[in-house]
Amino acid sequence: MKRSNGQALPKARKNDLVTRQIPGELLVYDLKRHRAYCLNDAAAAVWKSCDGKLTVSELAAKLESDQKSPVDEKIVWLALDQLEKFCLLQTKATKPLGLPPISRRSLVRAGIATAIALPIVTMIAVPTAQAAGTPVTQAVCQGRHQSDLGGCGITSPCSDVPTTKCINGPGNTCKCG
Amino acid sequence: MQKIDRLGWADGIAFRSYGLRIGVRVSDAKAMETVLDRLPPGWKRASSPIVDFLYSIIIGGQTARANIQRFSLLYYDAGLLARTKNVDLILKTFESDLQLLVADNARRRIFVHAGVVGWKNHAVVIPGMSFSGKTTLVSKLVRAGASYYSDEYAVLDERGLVHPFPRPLGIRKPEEFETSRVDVSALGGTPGSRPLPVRLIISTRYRVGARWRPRKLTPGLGVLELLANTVSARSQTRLALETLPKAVRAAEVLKGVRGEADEVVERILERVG
Repeated sequence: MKRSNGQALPKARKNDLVTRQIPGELLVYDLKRHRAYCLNDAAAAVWKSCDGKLTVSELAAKLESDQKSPVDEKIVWLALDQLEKFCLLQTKATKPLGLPPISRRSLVRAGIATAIALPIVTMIAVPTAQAAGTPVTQAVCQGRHQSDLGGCGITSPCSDVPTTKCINGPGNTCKCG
Repeated sequence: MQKIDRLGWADGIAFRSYGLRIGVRVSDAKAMETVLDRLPPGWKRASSPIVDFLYSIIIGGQTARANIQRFSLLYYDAGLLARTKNVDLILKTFESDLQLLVADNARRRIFVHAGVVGWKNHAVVIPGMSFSGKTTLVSKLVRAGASYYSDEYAVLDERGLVHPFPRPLGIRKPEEFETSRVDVSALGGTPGSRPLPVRLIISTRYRVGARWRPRKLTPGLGVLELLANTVSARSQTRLALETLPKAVRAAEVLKGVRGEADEVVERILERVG
């Protein structure tokens, strides 16, 4: 979505996502990439408001009225940066020229993060079924699981140490030997 | 598949486990008892021989000629899973694969790769990858008086309650990859019998010399910790996203590396109440 001045407006991605709202957080699962995200309230509010019609200033104003506390545009940009990085935007917003990189630390230092919690998006990669189970034997690794992405053929703790295999080390940890 | 079917089978069983119909056939009737011992906890014999998943186990061993030993083979449907002269390895592979099959395909249950114990009518769930030290921690908690639920899977129902999956503990001997099966009674513990609400989720792994100073996670991050260890997260995403938040709802979620298990057991049980 674009304004007449050519400015792209952020639009949340909706396809191939499963969402689940829990108190204070929004869980999002990306069915294409098999990544799961946890958006805190601030990040979720920005994401939900990205309808492709609002500019960043309008988004900030909307959040301000929703949350009844001042919201700096930089907070919206911080959320949009993360949402874009994790492929949760269908259309990303055009950044104004000269806008410096925004980090959580810089916002805290500038005192912007006092009124509203900073937007945080946390991501995990969801494993294959095989990777989520214990490879009880070396034979399992050599069997059908080996070729699976994230299977023990790839994630074996000793796979990057040639000619070694995983043996039991101190505290039941893996030791390459 | 027809080739395998023609091999001639001495014994077999059809059973149900977590809503799945599974069959196992063996080439040597003497092996059947060991196979039954390795079926998932709670399995029930099925009345019908029609199954959705089929394992075939060919037991090798000595032939008439003293210098020739035949391989033992394990098939899942028509696919060869393992081929070795070590029968025990075949059975371990069978058990592991079968548990994974059940965990990935179970109806109305979510299996999280985790150790679980019960304490004062609440469950402590310890999700984690292999070699993170789950079994060690579970066995120490059981020795301290907790009831044993599982050292492999937290089985969650649609209400978010954890059900027991009390298979023998898979304890690794020093300097070995493979695990030995140890019954919980050998540790002086008892298996849990009823579903419990989750009170504590501990995401941790062992590090030599570390002190356990966990940080508290939000419920949403707690769900991610469980999801990262959920077997059917990819195949049953919606069910997982419905179930896991319910399990986390009333739980405290802690994350951080730990040192020796003995040093954290008491603190864990104190937190539960």
